Amino acid sequence: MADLLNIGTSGLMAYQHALTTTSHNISNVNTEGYSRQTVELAARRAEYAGFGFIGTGVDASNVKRNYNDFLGEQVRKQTSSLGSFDAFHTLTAQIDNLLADPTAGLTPVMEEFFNASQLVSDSPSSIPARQVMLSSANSFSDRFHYIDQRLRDLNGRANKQLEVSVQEINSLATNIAKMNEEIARARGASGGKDPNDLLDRRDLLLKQLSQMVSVSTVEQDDGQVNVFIGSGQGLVVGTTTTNLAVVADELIPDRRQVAIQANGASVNISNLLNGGQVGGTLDFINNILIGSRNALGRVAVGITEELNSQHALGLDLNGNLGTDLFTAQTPQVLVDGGNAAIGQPLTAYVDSTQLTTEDYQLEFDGAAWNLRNYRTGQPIPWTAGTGTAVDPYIVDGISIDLSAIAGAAAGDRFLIRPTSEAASRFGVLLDDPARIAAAGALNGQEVVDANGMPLNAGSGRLNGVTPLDDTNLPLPAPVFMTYDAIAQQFNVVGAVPATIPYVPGVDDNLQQSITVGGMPITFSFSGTPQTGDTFTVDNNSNAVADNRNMLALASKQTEGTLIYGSTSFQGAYGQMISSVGTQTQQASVNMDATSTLLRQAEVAHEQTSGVNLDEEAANLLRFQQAYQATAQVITTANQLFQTLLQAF
Amino acid sequence: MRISTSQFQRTSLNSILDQQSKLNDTQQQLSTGKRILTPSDDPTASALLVDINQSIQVYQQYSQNASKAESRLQLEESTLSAVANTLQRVRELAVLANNDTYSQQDLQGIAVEARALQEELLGLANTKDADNDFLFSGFKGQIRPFEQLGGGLGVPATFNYNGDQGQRLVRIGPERQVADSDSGYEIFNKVPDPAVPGGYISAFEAVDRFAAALETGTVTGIDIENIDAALNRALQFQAGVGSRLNAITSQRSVNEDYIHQMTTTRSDLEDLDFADAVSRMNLQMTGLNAAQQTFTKVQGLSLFNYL
Repeated sequence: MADLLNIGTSGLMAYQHALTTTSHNISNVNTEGYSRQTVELAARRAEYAGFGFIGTGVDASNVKRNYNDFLGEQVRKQTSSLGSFDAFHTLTAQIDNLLADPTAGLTPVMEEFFNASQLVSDSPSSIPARQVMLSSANSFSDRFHYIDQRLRDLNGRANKQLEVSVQEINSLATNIAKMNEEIARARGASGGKDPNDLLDRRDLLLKQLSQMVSVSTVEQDDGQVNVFIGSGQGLVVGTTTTNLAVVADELIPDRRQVAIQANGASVNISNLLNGGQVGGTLDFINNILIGSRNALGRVAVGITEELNSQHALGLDLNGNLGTDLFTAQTPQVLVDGGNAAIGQPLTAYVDSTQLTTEDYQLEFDGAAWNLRNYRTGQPIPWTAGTGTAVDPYIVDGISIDLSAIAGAAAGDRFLIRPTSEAASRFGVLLDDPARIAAAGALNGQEVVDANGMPLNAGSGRLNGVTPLDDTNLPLPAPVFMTYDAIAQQFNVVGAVPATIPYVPGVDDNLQQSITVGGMPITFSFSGTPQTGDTFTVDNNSNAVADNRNMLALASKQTEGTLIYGSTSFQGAYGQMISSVGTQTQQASVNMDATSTLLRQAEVAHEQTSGVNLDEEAANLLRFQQAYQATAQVITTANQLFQTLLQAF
Repeated sequence: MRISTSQFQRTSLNSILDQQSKLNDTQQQLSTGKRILTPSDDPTASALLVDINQSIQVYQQYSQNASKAESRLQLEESTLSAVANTLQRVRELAVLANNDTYSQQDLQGIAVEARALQEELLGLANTKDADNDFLFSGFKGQIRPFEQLGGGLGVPATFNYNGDQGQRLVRIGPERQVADSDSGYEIFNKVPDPAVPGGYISAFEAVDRFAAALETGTVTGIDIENIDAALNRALQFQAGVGSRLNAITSQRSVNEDYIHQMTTTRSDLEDLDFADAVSRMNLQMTGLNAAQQTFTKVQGLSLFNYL
């Protein structure tokens, strides 16, 4: 009888545990990270009764956590990917939206500016037309500042996000270390049994951590996990943690990077980190934001350089040569605080069509200065030059003069950013409409007598006199070109070459060139001059109705002025829009794909670990029935005992 | 396959959210009429649109330039037409005066009219344009091109040209520039002298010499030839202006064709196919509806209802 009672009691105890666990499952149906638990039942050791083994009941041998490490890992991986694409997409989409806005973009103000310059070329002497051109130049510069400011705001937001994420990582790491401690203690106390709910909580923390950054985990024998980030930097090892910190980039102060603090030193591990919000944000900062600001700046530099040099070839309403229309700029140089060298390189733009959207690191190796792409680390050979003041290094459209640097030691560095600040520094220098140089600086004419009557007998003409640079403007003396019909050439006085061959009917409108003190001037002849017919090239004067320089300036709108002459200012801006658009689109596609993968991983994970209420309801019934049946065993034992008692 | 209860709920909810987000996109497309809401919707087309918008705007500016050039050329044409009429009248007077039937007194009367016409001619040559620049002074818009020095009854005057030989071009097409003026030097000074091969006589000299000859009673056939030469020069330039005006008209229609074509391309690229979008929206609404209904139905199912 005692056996029967014992067996009954063992069943009651076991099914009580099973029912408790089922209730635990039901009440945690909506608990994030909870894994379904099941009580494992095992038959008690049987006793030998001479004729065979008699069973002695049931024991609850273990409470099992239904969890698959591999599936859990899959969920973490996809969570990291999604976190990264999500953070990247959210930030990139803001640039995408900014550029898409037809009223806020650069396009309308650029068009307005060039329209206004064409209006000045239509009415060069009109002060109102010139005033409109100046005000549209100012709106142009305001818009550059506005877009650049928005990009910088976005930089601030991305930096903030990095800080929040890194704080979150540090606090999650601390909590994981604490859980490690508790788990190890619980396992020790229970003789190696898993503390299921603690494990769930730690797995949830790991999942939250992987939303911030990609992690890999290794479980130790005592149940603790070690968490690694980047290329194996330990974030949590047992119960100790290593802190991450957001630090300023060594050379770009407003760029934030992530460093790990190991042995009292802080090491930048940004390029090792991937995945999660941190990975996505760093990707945005390093690959989209800086590039976009540089691309915008490149348009600003192009406009400044091209239009200023064209403007210098013209005369204003007062007859003076054109001065800078836009504030002249130089490539930005940032100095590494740890440099032994005194001084810094002097930089200038030499050819804005060659500019890229990269930043360059200039580094001294103890013997020579080397250049590398700051973003990719790729070495860049010098195109020309020796780095001296008279023969500076030339690379990608800028010149670098190192003559002002003294005492350089190996490892000294400078960062050269040709375009990054150009949009914010873009400015209109001219404020007097009369000083817009619409007229050409030079004028080519036939010689005339004192009353302005013609002297040339032939039908020859001199056309399109244009200086190619302003190195010798105004001309020190007029140039005379007198035709010799026998030798079929012009004899040149005041310029080289001394003669220009010209065969009427053959060389008509052929581009000719002379130089005055090294300054090239182009023009063409047409018609049939006679011997002695003379043309002059001289400084233009009183030319308020001349629009030649403005015509040339306005046509810069559609000329190939950027990216090796392949595209216009507008085209370069269009490329920036399409590049950001493509990356946003890609991020969005990746996000969709990763969402699907994450859902699939979650479904697979939930298949094992998730609580199904119908299943639990069925279990409830099953265990209740078993409990009731076991209770009947006790009743039966009791009845048997009563029967036995009544027998006496 | 086991499906956890929360997973089951999340899946149904996600499908509702997905449908809603698609519906939202379509609704935004319909309310803006644009297929492309942000560059990422179609990066290639977005970059192309920047180009197309610039082209359209540039061509519109060309047409505006053309209007400006046209009005200046119309002013030049009407001025040259007046110049031609004036010279024509001087020529009539020269033909009359060359007739022996006129007395000295008659010739003096004609001389008075000739002097008046000479004044008129000088006035026309010093015409100003809409920008208050002299039409015929080349680039020197604020310098009065022609001035008369000396002269008097029977005495030939001197005429100075103070402008230059500049001729302004205006861009009316991508590869098309048109001159919106001619310098007074070309029109009035570079008149070939019929009496001197390779030499030149100005239109003012031609009229002035004729008037002086009238005053001294020594009109000859040369005077008529001089005036003819000046008249021919003016008519020649008037014809030139006419052909430039024609060129502007034809270039403008080329520009308008181009703008039209680009506008069509732009519309193809960025505008929404409404029929397609509306049917897509209906489909998405049906989808959303179905997802919502199945959600409420399916969520009611639980074994616990039967316990």
